[in-house]
Amino acid sequence: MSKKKIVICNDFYFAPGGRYYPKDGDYTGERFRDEFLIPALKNNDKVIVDLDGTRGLGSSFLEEAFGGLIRNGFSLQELLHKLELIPSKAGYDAKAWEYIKSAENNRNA
Amino acid sequence: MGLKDVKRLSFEYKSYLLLRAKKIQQKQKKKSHGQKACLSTPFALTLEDNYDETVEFLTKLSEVYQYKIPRRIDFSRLKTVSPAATLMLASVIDSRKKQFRTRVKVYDFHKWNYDIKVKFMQMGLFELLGINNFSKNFKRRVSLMKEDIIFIKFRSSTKVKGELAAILNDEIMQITKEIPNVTMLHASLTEAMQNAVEHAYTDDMVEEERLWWIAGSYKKSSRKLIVIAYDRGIGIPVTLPQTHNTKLQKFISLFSLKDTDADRIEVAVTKDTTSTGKKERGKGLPEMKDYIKNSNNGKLKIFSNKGFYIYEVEDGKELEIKKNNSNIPIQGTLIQWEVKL
Repeated sequence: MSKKKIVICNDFYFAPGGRYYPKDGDYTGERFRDEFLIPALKNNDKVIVDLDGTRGLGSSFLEEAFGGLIRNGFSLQELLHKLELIPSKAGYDAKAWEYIKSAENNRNA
Repeated sequence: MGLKDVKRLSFEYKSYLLLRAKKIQQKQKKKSHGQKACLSTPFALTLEDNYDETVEFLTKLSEVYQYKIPRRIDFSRLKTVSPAATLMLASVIDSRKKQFRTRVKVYDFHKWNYDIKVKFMQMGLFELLGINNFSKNFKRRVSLMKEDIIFIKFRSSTKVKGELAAILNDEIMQITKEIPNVTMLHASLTEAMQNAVEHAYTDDMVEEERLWWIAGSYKKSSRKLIVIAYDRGIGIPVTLPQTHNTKLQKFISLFSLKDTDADRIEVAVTKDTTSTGKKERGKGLPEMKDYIKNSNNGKLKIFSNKGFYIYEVEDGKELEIKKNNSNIPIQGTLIQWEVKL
């Protein structure tokens, strides 16, 4: 079983923010999703993401990175099986799952 | 008389005529400078205690710069400034500098109030104004100062730049040694940037006009930290869902609101509302409120167009929302977080 761990503050940026790339900024949720999450999910059985260590993650970044996975063809079931978010001190893992579930509900509505 | 009969001007005579023309031009320039109207600041630039005069001055200053009207700006009357109004002043000057690539001229620097000079220097206004030749005496007095309120230099961009929020927070930490829930404050600042980048400006505006600014201040005696984000866009009341008016109206009637600018700010802060009409959007402003909600003592103040909104927490308890509408709109949206350390 192939595994991939992504530590956002080391692998991506220490202060990410914004939704769309490149319109909103250089280290946005869309860029993190397209360049890190989607390739890792496609090429591995398990993807572990550590969201701690950055200076702070805003809702636009988290929603686009994680809720955006649903809008890009992944299902909630698939993500529950493949994606593991390390419990975050700031509660980012819970927020990211909330955005994923909300995006799934919006798709099914 | 043919062309060859016209007397050629000697080199000396040509030089004399050129010099004379230059002198006449200089005299006219001096004369017109004297005739330039003088735009004076009020005694206090602060939204809290002198809203009307502050906003009137900043609006006039924006117009002067927008239409390139030659004016003298007289800062010598100014005795008090708040960090928010100083950031707004910096934004007007910064906008002009970035759009027209010209330096703003100020006069009678020696007549300025000493405390104002220090506050402007701390906020980064002197860099904007190109004032850098301070006297040794001024530098010595600044280094020895034990002032109660310290301003923290503004940062600005047209993109969401988390690193600039990080720099601001680092500079605050150097003074205060602590910021409660610093990651939440950082996230709130990046959301304010996101709102400015995505919603505040219309599509026809050029990149140089689509700016946001952030800054801060710390009052030692009351241990009060202020962090501010500002954009000069069309304002929250305008950017609220044009296409989702039914949802908005439902909310407004549910809470017996009157659909003023202040009511619209309240709706935007309370609900997931967005101009995009997309369900996944509109979480930024509620997130900015959450930062204060999680503090023991704090205030979220939002000025946008004519509306003014305050959300306050005292000893861990939420107080009643305060809101009001003024006759004069501020240009854009100013968000201010105040927390007691």
